[in-house]
Amino acid sequence: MAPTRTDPAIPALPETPPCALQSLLAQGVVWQGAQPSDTPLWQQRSTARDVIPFGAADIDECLPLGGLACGAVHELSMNDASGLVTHPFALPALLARNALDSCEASGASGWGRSSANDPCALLVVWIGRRCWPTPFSLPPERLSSCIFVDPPTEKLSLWALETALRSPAVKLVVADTPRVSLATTRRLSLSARAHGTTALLLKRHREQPTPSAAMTSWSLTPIPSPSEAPAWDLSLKRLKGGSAAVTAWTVTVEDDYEHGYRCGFGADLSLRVLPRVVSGSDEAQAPAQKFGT
Amino acid sequence: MEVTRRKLQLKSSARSPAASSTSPVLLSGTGSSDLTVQRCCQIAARCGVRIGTPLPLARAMAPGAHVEAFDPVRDCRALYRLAVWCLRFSPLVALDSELFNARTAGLLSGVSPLHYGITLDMTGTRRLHGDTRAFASSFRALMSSSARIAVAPTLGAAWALSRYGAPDVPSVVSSRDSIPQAISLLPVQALRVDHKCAAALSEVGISLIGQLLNLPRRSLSQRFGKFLLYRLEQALGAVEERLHTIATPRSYRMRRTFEPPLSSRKSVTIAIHHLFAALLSQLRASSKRSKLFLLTIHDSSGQTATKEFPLAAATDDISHLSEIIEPIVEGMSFFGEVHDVTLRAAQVEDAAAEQRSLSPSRDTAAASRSRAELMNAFAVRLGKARVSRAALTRSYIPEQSFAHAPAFGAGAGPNDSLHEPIAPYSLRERPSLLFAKPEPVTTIAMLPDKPPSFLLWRGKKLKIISGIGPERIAPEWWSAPSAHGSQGAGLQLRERDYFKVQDDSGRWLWVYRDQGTLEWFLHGVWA
Repeated sequence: MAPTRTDPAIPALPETPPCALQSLLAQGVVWQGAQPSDTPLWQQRSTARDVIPFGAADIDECLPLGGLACGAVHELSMNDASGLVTHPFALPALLARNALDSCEASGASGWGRSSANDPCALLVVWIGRRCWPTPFSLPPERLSSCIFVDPPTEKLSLWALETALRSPAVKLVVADTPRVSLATTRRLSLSARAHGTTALLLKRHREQPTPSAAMTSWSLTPIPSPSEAPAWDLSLKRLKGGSAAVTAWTVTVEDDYEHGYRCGFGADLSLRVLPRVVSGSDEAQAPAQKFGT
Repeated sequence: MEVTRRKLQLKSSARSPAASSTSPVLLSGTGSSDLTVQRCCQIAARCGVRIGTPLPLARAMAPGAHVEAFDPVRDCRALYRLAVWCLRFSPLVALDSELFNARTAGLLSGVSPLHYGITLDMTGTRRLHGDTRAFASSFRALMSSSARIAVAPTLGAAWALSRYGAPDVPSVVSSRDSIPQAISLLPVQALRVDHKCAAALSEVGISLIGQLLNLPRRSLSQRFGKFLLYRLEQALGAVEERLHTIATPRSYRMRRTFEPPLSSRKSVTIAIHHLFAALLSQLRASSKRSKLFLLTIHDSSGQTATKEFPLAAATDDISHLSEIIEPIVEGMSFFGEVHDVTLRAAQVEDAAAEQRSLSPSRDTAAASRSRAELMNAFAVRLGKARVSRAALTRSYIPEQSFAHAPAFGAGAGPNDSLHEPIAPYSLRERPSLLFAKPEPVTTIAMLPDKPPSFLLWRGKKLKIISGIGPERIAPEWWSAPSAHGSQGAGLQLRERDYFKVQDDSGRWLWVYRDQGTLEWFLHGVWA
C-alpha cells in the first residue's frame, strides 16, 4: 500500500506502528523480488485499476477486470487467411473511443464533458502509418485527442511507443509492431505499468505465436457477416495470470443507424456479440446473396 | 543625423511583378470614402499627381498607373526594420516622434509622409565614421536615391534640412552657431508646426524661418502660440528634445570554446548540456522562451555540424530538454576534436506565466506541460512533419474528406475549420481502412449498375457473394469544371459509383467504378 498522507486534523491511529521495512517496501525502495504467483498480475498493483471496456457485456464480464486492464500491454493480431488486410482497424478505433470515454467518465479529465481542446484530455497515440484508421471510425469530437505518428524506422517506432507510454498525457498507444521480441514487450509492460498507460500492439498473425510479455493477446478473423457490418471471430489467445471462461466470440462493429445519422461519424459505434457460429461444418452456410439490397 | 524615407511601400510595390519599372505606381486609400492617392512615385509626381488627388483623376493624369492599397502599418514596419538596421552605425536610433506616437496609438493612417523618418544620434561616433560629410554621402549611397539625409547639431535643424533642404546632397551643419544661417531659407513648415500656425504666419507675410528669426521672440509667443517658439528653440538648440529610440533586438546565443579541443563525445554532450542550461537561464531571466534551438559544432578538421531542435512547445525545463536532446547529440556526426560549440535560440517569444490549478485532478498546467513534453520529444526526434492530427474537411470525395495535418499548427486546432460535418458518415458507409490511392482491380460486373461478382486484386481472386450499392459520388462542381470526360482530369475528378461488396471470406470491400473510364478500383476495406 502506498503511504497515504493523513490529514493533520485527524490524529494518526497508533495501533499499527510504522514498520521501517514495510514503508520502504511500499515506497519501492526495497525490491520485493517476484510477486507471489497466486496473485494475478492485475491485482498486484495496489492502485485502483481502470480498464478499457470493449463495451459488450458478453466480453467484458468474462475478463477479470471487466475490460482491457490499463497499465499493461495488449496484443491484437489480424488473422486474415488471404493476407490482404494486415491490421485490424475498426476494433482499435473502438477501443480508443472507449478509452477516451472511460477516462472522461472516471473524472481523470475533470468536471463534466471536456471540450475538444481541453489540455487535460488524455491522448490516444497511433504509431505507424499502416495502422492509422480513417477518421470515419473515430467520433469527430475525439479526433483532437488522437495523435498520429509516423516513425520512419522500426527502431524509432519502438522508441516512440515507449516515449508515449512514459508520458502522463497518454491514455492508450496503438502501435503497428510487426516484430517485437519478448524482451521488448517486457520492457514496454514495465513502462506501461509504471505510468498507468496502455499499449495495444497490432501484430501480424503468425502460425507460431511469438513469446510475449503482453497481458492479453487477441486475434481477429474476418468471417462472413449476416448484416452489412463487418464481423470477426475474436478470440482471446492468452490471458496472463488467469483464464477466462469464454475465449472466443463472434463480434460485429455496428452503429445505431438512426442515431448515427444525427450524431455522425463513429459517434455511436458499438461492439455487438453475435451468436457464435461453430466453425467447421457450418462454414458452408454463407449468407444468401444480397444483390440489390 | 536625420534620414527620411517617404516611399517605403512604393518601392516594394514597384518591385512587384505586376508593375513595370517605367509605369507610375500609386498607393490609394482603402476605404470607399477616401479613394485618394496616399503615396505616389516620382513618375506619377512628374505627371502632376499629388497626395490627396482623387484616384480617378490620378489615373487620368498618369495613364497606365499601377494602383495598390496603401498599408501604413506595413510601411511603418518596414521603417522600423530599417531603423534596426541603422543600429550598426549608432547605438541610439529613433523613429520620428510623431510617427512613434501614432504607431503607439494605432493611428498610422493620418501620418504625413514627412514624418516617415529615422533619427541617428551621431554624438561621439566621429572616431568610427570619420568625416561627417563623407559618412553622410556614403550612407546615402547605401540607402537609395530617394532617401534624404541631413546632419545637424540639433534634431529640429536636421529634421528641417532633411525634409526641406537640398534633395540630392546631404546637408551637413557642423556647429550650433551656423544653424540659423542653414535653416533661414527654409519654409516655416520645416519647424514642424501645424497647418493653422503656418497659415497664421503666412497671413502676416512670414513664410521663411529667416523672417521668423528676425522677429522678437517675446511677441512670437504671444501672437502665434507657445508651440512655434518651442519648435524654434528646439531647432536652435535652446530647448532639448527627446528621442524615441528603438530597442536593440537581443539575441540569445551561447558559445563555448575549448582549449585544448574536446576529444570525447561524452564531454561534448556534457558541454552542450551546460550550454542549454546557461541559455535557458538567460532566457528565463528575461522571461522569454524559445521554440527553436540551433546548435553548431566546429571540429578540428574544419567541418561544421549543425542541428536544429524544433520544439512543439516552448519549455524552460532543462531536464526535459536534455532528455530529448541527448540521443540526438549522440547521433550527430562530427569528426575529430571539437573546437567550439555555439547554441542559439531562434523564435524567441514571451513566456506567459502559467496559472496553477486549485484542483489536483484538473491541473491544466501540468497536463499541458506533459502533453507538450511528449510532443517535443516526437518533434525533435522524428521531425514535425511526422506527427499529425486528423481533421475533417468539407468534401464529399472520400480521400479528400479528411486530412492529416501537422500537429504543430499555429495555435488553432485542426477541428476548428469544421464544426459541422457536411455529411454524417458512419462506419456503415465508409470503411475503416481507406487506401490513400485507390487500387485498380479487374472485375466481372454487369452494366450498368450491378456490383461486381468477381475481383482480381493484387493477384488474388476474390469471389463476391453480396453487394450493396451503387452510391454515386460526383466531383464538386466548383473544383472540376471540365471534369466529365476531359483528358486532363485526374483520377479523382470523375464521377464514381461506389459499391460495398462482401467477398467469400467475409470481408466487406469498398469498390468503385470510374464513370469516365469504366475502370474498377478498390478503395477501402472494413478491417
